[in-house]
Amino acid sequence: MELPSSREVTQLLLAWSEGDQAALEKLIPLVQAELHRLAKHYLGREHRGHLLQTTALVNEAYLRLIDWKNVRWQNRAHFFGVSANLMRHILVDFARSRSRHQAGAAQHVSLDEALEVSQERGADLVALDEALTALAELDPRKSKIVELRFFGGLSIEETAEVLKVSPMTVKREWSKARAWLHRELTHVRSDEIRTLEAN
Amino acid sequence: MKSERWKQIDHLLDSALELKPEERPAFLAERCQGDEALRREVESLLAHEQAKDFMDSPALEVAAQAIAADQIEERRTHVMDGPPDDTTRKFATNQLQTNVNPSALMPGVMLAERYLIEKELGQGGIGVVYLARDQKLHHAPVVIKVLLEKVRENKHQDWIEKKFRQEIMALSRIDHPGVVRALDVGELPDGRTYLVMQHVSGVSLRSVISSRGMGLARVGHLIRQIGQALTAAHEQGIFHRDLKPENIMLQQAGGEEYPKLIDFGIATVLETPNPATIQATQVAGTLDYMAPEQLQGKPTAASDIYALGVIAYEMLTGRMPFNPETGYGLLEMQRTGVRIKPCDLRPGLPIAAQTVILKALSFAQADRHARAKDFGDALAQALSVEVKETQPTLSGLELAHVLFTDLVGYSKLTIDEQTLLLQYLQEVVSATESFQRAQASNQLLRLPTGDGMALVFFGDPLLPVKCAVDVARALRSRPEIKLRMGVHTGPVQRLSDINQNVNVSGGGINMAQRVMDCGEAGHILLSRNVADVLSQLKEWSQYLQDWGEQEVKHGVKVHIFNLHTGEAGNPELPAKLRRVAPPEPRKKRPPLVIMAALLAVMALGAITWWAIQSRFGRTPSLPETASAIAPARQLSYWLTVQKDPKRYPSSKPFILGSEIIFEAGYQVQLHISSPQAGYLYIINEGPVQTNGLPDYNVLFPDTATNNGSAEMTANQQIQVPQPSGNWIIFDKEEGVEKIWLIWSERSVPELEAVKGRANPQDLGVINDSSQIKSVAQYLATQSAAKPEVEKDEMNKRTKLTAKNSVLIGVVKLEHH
Repeated sequence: MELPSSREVTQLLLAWSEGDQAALEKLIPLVQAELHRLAKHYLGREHRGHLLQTTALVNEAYLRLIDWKNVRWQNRAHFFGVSANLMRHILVDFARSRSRHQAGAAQHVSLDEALEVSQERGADLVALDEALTALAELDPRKSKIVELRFFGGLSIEETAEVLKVSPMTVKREWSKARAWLHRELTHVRSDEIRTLEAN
Repeated sequence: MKSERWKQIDHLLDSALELKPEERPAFLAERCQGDEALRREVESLLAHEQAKDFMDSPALEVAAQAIAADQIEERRTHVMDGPPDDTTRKFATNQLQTNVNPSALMPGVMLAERYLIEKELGQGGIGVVYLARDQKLHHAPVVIKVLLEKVRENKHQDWIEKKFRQEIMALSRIDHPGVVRALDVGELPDGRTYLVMQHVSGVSLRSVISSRGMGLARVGHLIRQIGQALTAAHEQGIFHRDLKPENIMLQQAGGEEYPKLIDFGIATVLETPNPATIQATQVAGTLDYMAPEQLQGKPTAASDIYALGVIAYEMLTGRMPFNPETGYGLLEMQRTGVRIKPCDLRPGLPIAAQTVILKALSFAQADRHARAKDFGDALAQALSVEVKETQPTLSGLELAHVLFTDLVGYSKLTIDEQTLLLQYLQEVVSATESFQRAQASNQLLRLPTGDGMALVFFGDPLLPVKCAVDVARALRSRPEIKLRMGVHTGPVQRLSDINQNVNVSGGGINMAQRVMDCGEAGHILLSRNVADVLSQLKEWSQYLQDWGEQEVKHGVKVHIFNLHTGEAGNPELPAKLRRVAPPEPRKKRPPLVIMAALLAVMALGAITWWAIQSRFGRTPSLPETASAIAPARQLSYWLTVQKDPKRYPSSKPFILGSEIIFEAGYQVQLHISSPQAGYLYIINEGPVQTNGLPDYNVLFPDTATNNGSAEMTANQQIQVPQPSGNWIIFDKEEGVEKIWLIWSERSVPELEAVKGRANPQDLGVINDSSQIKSVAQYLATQSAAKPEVEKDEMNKRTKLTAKNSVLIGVVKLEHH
């Protein structure tokens, strides 16, 4: 499949953010093309140690999908917010359809290596999405930060710009949100929050 | 909606994260006041906060990896169903039976109808490790180890297999919470043995070792437990042989941290008799933890104790005891012994703890502790001894006796020469009796200064003098090393930083440096109050020469004495003092002369003040400075720096007089001021763009501040970036940010043309290539005349002085 051009993606994202639902239909295959391109790279990888290269590729893919350079400054923050939300939408949908395809097999989409080495259960994007929705109930700002950083691929500074808070606040909130989600996904969590909420 | 309760939790989390991990339980106990549910909640979140790598990869990467996993799965299914063509058949055979493929177990393969292989976790020289799910036990994660297939081609194959089985047997006998548990053993269809083990959750010790060392209490707690676990293994006749921070996992339970040893034995079942072949089969990094006898192919229980000693050294200092280039080099260094002692790297570390670690690192096995447990207990004991803190005085100040040393001509040396020389100096200093005595009683702090060091002694005022004399004596055999030293007694303030390191600051140290600055190679100079003490002692008073009052930087006057014992010191009056001061002891000057001198200085005014200061060696006579009054431009700058708030949560912004190399995440503000009026422009230059033009970013003037004008009044301060709450933040990219400062008497048309770019839309970026060219040309022409740079550490300013009507300075912010 041909690579989507960044201008094309940006136009579609902008259209979608302005309410054009048809744009979404055109966007999904473009995101999937990026995904397959990356996956091909992982398959070709015989050994470990190509991490740096991988990170660069992922960043590149994000840049192609969410290219803020072509967006006017005033729209930047809004554009980031919309793009991250859309990425979440598409990627979680993808993960959901995937797990329907394979019943019982190893369908966990691991969030990272540390998690695999370190916890009891693999976590997948669907579970993360659910946890994130739960977090939004409790603390909307933290949930938004995760959406922008994890799904939207934004840096700390970009996230700070979108939310109009300091980078320091983003870092602090991000690490607390991560702790909360990690606990949620590893199921070690006692039901204390709920008990506490009831009090 | 944020509930009140969640706000409370959130707030407590913030406060707790600012604290060191070991301080958190006490803090929470106090703040939660018996609300156990609240305390447990916050503690549980704090424990999960440790999962540092969680969600480090963005979602796009996660999803792409999932697709890759699916495709592997698909291939496997094809194989099972009957291959469509020859290629796949070959692939299948490789996967499941032959010796060609190094790892036959693929994600998705079910082992013994029970363990579903999920992922390969890593490979060693002879074994491979997988993460799997135990289908019979609620998909519980387990770890499975198998010998690599290539081992079968090894002529020692039988022996290796046998050894592996022995290790499995042994591991199943160790019943200790600090050692990973063996759960099951089985055989692959190809006959290879596999081992199923408990999956350990948590983070590895590697991930918590910081470059500045970990908290003392935490190190004691962890090493003690690791020691106990190792001894439990040793009692079963099992050696770990590959102990390193990567093989020690840290688990959290009830607010406590528990280490667990993983990877027992397997990595070194295949022993290599000579260090040359070790490099071929092992990752170079693992050599660091190997005891000398293990490098020679004969590991024992004592080798594990040695490895634990290396780990303890690393946990406390953030560095390795030996840094060789080859296995042979390492063996030689181990034989010579540890040169850089833990206390050299970690001020405030109890000397007893150092002694314990050095014992564990002994070359001869018999000189180490008898059991790993003994080592762990002894170290924990030594680290639990309270660091003897002097009672804080009313003012927070203490009297310290400071020895300041400096290698003359240091900057002319190559970097490796510099390193060698500093190392040598460090050894010479550490070997002196006064150093060791002060260190042993914890009355010494050492500060590296770049081209030497400052030793801050508390207590005995003679210690720095004796130390200086001993060092000078030791250096007599090395006349090529030109060291000068200065001693002063004065007030200092001890500061504890976040890692429990003790640091010190204060005028006492600066003054010792001034005293030293008066001297040349070989000099040991003393300030008046040090000389006063020595003059009371017959043994010393004979060696003192009074060189009278000397003017040092910033017009400060210091009374200098020279110490020359015949063996140590330099009797010659330094050239710079000769020029200014008459060698005879001075008579009291009539007050009138002093008044006149003062008036003259005042008349020159603030502008010439800097010019006068320019360099100590050229302390002014009036005619020289008069010529500097002319149309010179002066500008000073300084930086406010905030360390990465995530890595150093309790760090506060601090001021720096000049540039340092910044780490990623550091934040910086640049401040500028001048006693003159004029026109200021600040431009950030990035890397050259694809069109060959430099990338300019106008930082000042911007449309939002100073009415968008470059015109500054005298003593006006400007901060970049604007508004005042903003920072320049360093990302992970290495590089140098070049910031041009243009300080002109008159406005500069080339720069006036682009100053409007610093608006909220364009963010300072200059797009027009003709404008870029004109700025580049202007900077190139004007910057040919370099300003004089003076670093004023005392007032934390860098001062630039230029002879022309335009001053062009460059601030380079380097980050890595």
